[in-house]
Formats: sequence, structure tokens, C-alpha cells
Amino acid sequence: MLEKISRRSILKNGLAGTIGALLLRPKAGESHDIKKYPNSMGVLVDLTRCVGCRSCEAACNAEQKLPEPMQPFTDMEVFEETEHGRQRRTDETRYTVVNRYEVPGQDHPLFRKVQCNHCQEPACLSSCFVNAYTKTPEGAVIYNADVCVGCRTCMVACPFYIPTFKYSSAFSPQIMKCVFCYDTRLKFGKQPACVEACPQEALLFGQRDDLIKIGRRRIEENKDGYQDHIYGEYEAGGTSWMYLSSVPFEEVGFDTNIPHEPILDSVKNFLGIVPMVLTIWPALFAGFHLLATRKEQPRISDDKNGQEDAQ
Amino acid sequence: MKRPKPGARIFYLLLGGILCSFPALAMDIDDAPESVTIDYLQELYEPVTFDHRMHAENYACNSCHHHTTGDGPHNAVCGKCHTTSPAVDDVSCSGCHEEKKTAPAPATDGTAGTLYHIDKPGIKGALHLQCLGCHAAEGGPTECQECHALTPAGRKRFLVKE
Ligand code: SF4
Ligand code: SF4
Repeated sequence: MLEKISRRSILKNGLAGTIGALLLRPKAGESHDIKKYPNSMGVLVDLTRCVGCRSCEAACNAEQKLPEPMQPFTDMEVFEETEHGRQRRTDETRYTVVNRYEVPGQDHPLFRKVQCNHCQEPACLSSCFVNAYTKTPEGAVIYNADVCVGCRTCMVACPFYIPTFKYSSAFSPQIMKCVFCYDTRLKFGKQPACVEACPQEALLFGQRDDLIKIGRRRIEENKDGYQDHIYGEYEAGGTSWMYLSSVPFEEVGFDTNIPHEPILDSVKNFLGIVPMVLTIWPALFAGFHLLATRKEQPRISDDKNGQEDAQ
Repeated sequence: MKRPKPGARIFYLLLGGILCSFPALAMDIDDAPESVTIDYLQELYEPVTFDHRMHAENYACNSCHHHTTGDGPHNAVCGKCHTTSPAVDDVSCSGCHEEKKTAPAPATDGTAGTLYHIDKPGIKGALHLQCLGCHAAEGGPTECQECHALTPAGRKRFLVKE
């Protein structure tokens, strides 16, 4: 008798759990204001000012003690480099790269600096199930290699293709990406090394809210010179690094199809079920197993109970 | 540095002449320094000697000094307030442009002085933004190392082998 009750309760709990999981699913939009830090810092990148000098790349390499590249940072031939038909990307040896764009109708090339955008609602962070990522109140999205299991979900989740994997260390996995100079500078209120190095003030460090006001002012005072849009103000739920451009953003390599909602709202909803699934599934499968193996069990109970069981 | 066309030179000389006839308002070219040594970046780069006289002889003061030399602003945005502003005491770039660490919070008190100038570049940005665009248009040097010789620390930073 006791055995039967527990068998039935297992099934019942399993069902209730599944329904519960579906009902308790976080609704879309609910997660929007979870991680908004009002005083978070950011950088406004003004493509109309960048001259492609690569001082920012050199400064990053030195600050983050990254491996020396083959070519010196004074070499402008890197702008010709393509890999699988696309321009240079950040990788485990470089947290930032500057790419050149020849835009039709422009009498000079344009340059775009790429690095982690330090999203307000980072997809890398939400997708990581061991919580290796942290969004600090200063705005940086930092990473803890000690807890990382090397599953690389964050690499897939990031809409900007930023996190990369250090392949040389398969046994101590490490994701490499820009950390906004958090440990060496941001934490102490100092601007990142790339910003400090930029001769053109194409990179402007400040409070994110102030940068949006400054960006709007630049657009307002020079309407012909700028697109009427600050890229990153809303993209992917908003990013700490934002951009101004004189030409449509898609012409200088930006993905303009990135939704304005945090990327991982839908994935978060899915992930919300994961812990429940983990607790429910053993019960469910135990139940299935018991049902499947029921006939093989010696029939100690009477017929009436057996029928009840099958219902 | 390419000199401007003779026509433009005459125009600027005339303009300079007219402006110089109002000494109380505008500054005189003779007040200007012969050269200026720029050494903000001396960790990575050798100091730059800026030939101020050559620039002053060929271009109007307000091409670079906005309205501070008292000759009326060249930029229409500055013109909103400064069409008749007299020369200021310190017309040097560093007189207004400090070394910038962080973007200042845009003003909130609504007065003109705080309503504008919310996006003033730091000294390094001011100099490069001022020089480079004009050099590109006028055929002046635009490659980094044409003005900035790397110091040993600079060569290390940019990984330039001797
Ligand atoms: S840009 Fe990519 S790596 Fe950087 S915070 Fe956003 S999702 Fe994460
Ligand atoms: S240092 Fe500034 S101007 Fe030079 S490539 Fe980087 S962003 Fe552009």
C-alpha cells in the first residue's frame, strides 16, 4: 500500500511540477529593468572622428598584457586582412580591433572600433549557467575564469560576436574579451586605456546618461554630419558603449537588425524552466520507469488496487 | 605645408589688415608667438614644435582660436553668442582645453555658459581635431609619425622594432 501511494504521488508531483513550471515562466518584458545601474559608465565612439591610427589597439594590448601581434600597431595593412571574407574580429589575442570601411559617396574611408559593448542586459551573462559573468555597477561586464566550465554558450549568445575562447588551454577553459579595464582602471574611476590613448577623442568616457545627452547635442548641432541615431542607446536592451556615425550604420559593419529588447529575454524564459526541469524530470522519469516495469513486478496487491493504478 | 592659393593669401592678409586696425578688439599677429612647443604626450612621443608664425601668416586667427582672439567666430555655432566677443586674456589652447579624463556632466542650470560648451574636447582631442581636418584639406602632414616621432617607450607601445 505504502509503495503504491508513493508511486502515485510521484506521478502527481511530476505533473503538477510541469504545469507549475509553465505557469511560473517569467513573462517577456519583466526582466527589462533588473540590471539597470543609473550611474553606470560608458564610452561614446564617434566614427566621424576616428582616423584609424590604432593607438587604441596598441594601448589595449599593453594594458591587458596580451600577446604581441606579428605586425606592429603602426602597420596599416591590417585593414586589408580578411578571414572567411569578413573583416578582423576580436579574439583571444586582441580585445579590440579597428576596421576600415570604404563607403560609397565618402571622400575618405571610415573606421570603426570593435570591442565588447558592455550590454546593460548582457546576453553572455544571461546565457551562462554557472554565472561566470558579472555586470558591475560601473557598467563593465566582467568574467570569472575560475567558475567557467568552457561550454561556450556565451560565445553563441553574444549578438556582437565578442567572447572568444582560448584554445591553448583546453583544461582550464578561459573566455577572452574586453573587460572595460575593470580591474586596472574602471574600478578606480579611471577611463579605459584605449580611451586615454585616442588622439581624436573619438572615444569619450563618461556616465552613460551624459554620453547620450552629448551624442544628441552633436547630432543636433551638425545634422548633416550625423545619422540621427545613437547606436547602442537601445540596441540589445542598451549598451554601455555607444556609437555615432555619419553614414547609415549598416554601411560601417553594424548589425542594424539587433532587436531593442534584451537579446536573451526569450532565452531567459527558457532558462527559467531549466532548474525546474532538473528537479521535475527525475520524478517524471522515475514515474515512467515504474509504469513501464509495473507488469514485471510481483503482483502483491489485489485487482482493485491494480485497476486504480492504471487510471 | 602647402601654402594657400595667392588669392586666398591676399584675402587673409587683407582680412588680417582690417582686423589689425581694431587693436582694442582683435589681437595683433605680432602678439603671437613664433612657435609653440607641444609636449603633452612626451611619454610616447617626442615634443612637437608648432610653427605658429607660419600658420598665423597664412590663416585667420579664428580658423583655430574660435572667437578668443576677438576677430569674430568662424564657426556658425559659436556665432550664436560670440560675434562681438573681445579677445580673452589667455588665448592659448590649454587656456580652455584641459586634460580630459571623463566627459563632464552636461549642465542643468540653463545659463548660456553651461548650456553650450558641454562637449568641450580635452587638450589632446582639441589639438588633433583642429589640426588633422585642416591638414587633410590643405595638404598638410596627416600621418601620425610625420608630426610625432616615437620615443623608445612609444616604439615599445606600438611594437616597432628598431
Ligand atoms: S557585447 Fe557580448 S560579450 Fe559584451 S556584454 Fe554584450 S553580450 Fe556580453
Ligand atoms: S585611437 Fe581613436 S582615432 Fe585612433 S583608431 Fe582608435 S578610436 Fe580611432
